[in-house]
Amino acid sequence: MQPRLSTYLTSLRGHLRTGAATRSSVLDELADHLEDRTDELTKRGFTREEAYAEAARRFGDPEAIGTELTLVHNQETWIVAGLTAAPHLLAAALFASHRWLELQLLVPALVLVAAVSALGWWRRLPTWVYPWIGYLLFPFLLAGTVSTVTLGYAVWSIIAHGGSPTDPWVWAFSGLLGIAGVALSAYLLIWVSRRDWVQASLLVLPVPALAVALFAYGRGEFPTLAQADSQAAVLMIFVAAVSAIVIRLADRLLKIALIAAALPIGFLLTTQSLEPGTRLLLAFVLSLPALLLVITPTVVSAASTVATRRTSR
Amino acid sequence: MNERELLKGSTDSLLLALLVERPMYGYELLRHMELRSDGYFRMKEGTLYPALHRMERETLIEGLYRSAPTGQYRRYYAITSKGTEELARRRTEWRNFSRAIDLVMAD
Repeated sequence: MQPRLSTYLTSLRGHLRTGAATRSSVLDELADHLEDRTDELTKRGFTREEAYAEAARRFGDPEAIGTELTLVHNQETWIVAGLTAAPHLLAAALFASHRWLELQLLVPALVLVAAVSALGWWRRLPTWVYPWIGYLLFPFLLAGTVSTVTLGYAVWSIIAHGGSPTDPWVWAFSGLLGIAGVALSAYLLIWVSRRDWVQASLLVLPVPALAVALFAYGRGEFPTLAQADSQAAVLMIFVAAVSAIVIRLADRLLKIALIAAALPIGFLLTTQSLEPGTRLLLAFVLSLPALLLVITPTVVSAASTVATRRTSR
Repeated sequence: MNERELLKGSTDSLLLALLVERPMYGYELLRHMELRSDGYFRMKEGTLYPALHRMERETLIEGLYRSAPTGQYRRYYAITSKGTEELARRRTEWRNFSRAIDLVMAD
């Protein structure tokens, strides 16, 4: 790239506040255009320097173009916002039904999630499909958690009693499911972070919420299961609302602020009826996604600076 | 209303009308528009790209990387079936409008 164009594009890049993948694709396209214009002007008798200057001048104010393109790319339609929020509302409905552990409700819900994910895959992975795929991974993650507990119990049994309570094949199977779940989730998260880390943060958002709900069930913290269900349903409606608003907001800083604020608010919503000790433990669970939220942009922006423009093709 | 303002309101229609002929990339579109309008429309890049990207999000057109005759890869835009329908609607609208203007303004 020529120095003059490079200066212009660097300035434009500073005003293009979108996800990394969008930014690199937009800058590639504009760089191609500037190169074509420069070549044309050079053929018409301009010197290279004059041609660069003229090509950049015709493009106009980099701040104005950058700001306008940011608006175009950051603000999604209400339809997209609704599609993004829908899987969380589905989870909320399952919890509110108080029958989410029954297979005749859980299986159709998972089939629906799989069908929508497949549709998104077929439509070349628009942003609204990420949370759907996220929910598809949830059974794997659950299996992973169960397998970890099973394995721990088996190891303890061997040490304490000299024999395993379960068949080794059961361990192997649950272990494999767990590893597959963690690997698939990590892969999805890294892939989404590279495209747009705000989307990745949105993907992580229901995880602490669901972890808190499951944890509360496990510990029997709620007087009745129905109460726990209702609280989980409220939390998932909250996650749905935050997702929809983040998708609709055009300003990237506001998006980030809202996601960051959602974590403690969601935490307060879930834990009203819990004892202080449990609340502290849950605060630890919630701090992990918060940490991820803070470090991801640094890692991703560093990676995208290193990447050359041709690699995005 | 000056020419610039007139152009602003018709950008989408003009781009759709050009893309219905064949897929083109941004630079090609600008040159083609200038040529087709006898040099009357000199759309700026700052108008073109936000319009193209917005129309792509509205699924009126779709962008795809393809090798240009020069051998380099360029981001081409192709009209979608939704874009074709939108163009037909805008053409009818424009015909009615320009006929009415003609009826009133012609001397």
